[in-house]
Amino acid sequence: MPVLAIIVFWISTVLAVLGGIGVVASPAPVYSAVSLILTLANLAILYLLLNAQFIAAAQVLIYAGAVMVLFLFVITLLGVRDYRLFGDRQPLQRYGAMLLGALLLAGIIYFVSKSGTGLTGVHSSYNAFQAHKGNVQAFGHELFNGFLLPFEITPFLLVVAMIGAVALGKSTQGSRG
Amino acid sequence: MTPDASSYLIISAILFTLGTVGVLVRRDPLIIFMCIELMLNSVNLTFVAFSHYLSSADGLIFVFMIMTVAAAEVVVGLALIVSIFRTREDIDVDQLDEMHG
Repeated sequence: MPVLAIIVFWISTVLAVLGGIGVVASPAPVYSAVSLILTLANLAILYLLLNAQFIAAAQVLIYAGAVMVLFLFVITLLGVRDYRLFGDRQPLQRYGAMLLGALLLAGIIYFVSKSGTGLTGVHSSYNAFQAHKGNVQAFGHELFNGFLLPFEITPFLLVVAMIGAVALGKSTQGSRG
Repeated sequence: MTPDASSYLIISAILFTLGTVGVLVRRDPLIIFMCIELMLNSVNLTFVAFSHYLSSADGLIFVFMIMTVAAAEVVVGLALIVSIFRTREDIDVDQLDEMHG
């Protein structure tokens, strides 16, 4: 791995984790959303380092573009309210959650460091295809040959979600008017 | 330090833990929703890292499907949040207890 890639890796790692902290600890939803955009963009850079160009582009387009614009739109639609950083009803829940979170992180890091890191390639056909035609072509080849049925089913999911959103929007308007 | 598979997994673990703590701690439904997105993205990073180090495209396909499901989830979830916010003024999830959950 070249030195520049390692530097880029560490910069985007630090920025992604800082963005994650910002999502959790920001007082206002707008700051959380902007921090989440920071995290998502830096995750896209990590995807590029992992040689997943198509996923990186989709991350920027779908997540940092469409989804976060929708979030910001809803935040501005709902307007600014009084910000209580943490709920004032259950302080025990806050410390318990932080303790359990630290426990979860320690457990995951323990098992990750315990398991070997010697991962090697098992799908040599994909490897050969990737070396020959490039990553995006290899991804498309896999998607349209091995995973055609799931790919064809996803539009139904999106249509159902769209119908659900329209139905929810209509019913609240009807009950108000 | 040269990054390897476990460094990506540890980044993913950190982001997932942040999302979990956010879901448990915060009371604003929009921020809880963003923390869920953070958890989904940390899992996506795990999939992409394994896909790279195992040199298999299956993880990338999974990430593609997760992105589709997340987009659908965001659409429905934000519609629900907007409709809840329209009918009531309070935004604290602790106060959304009509169903005695």
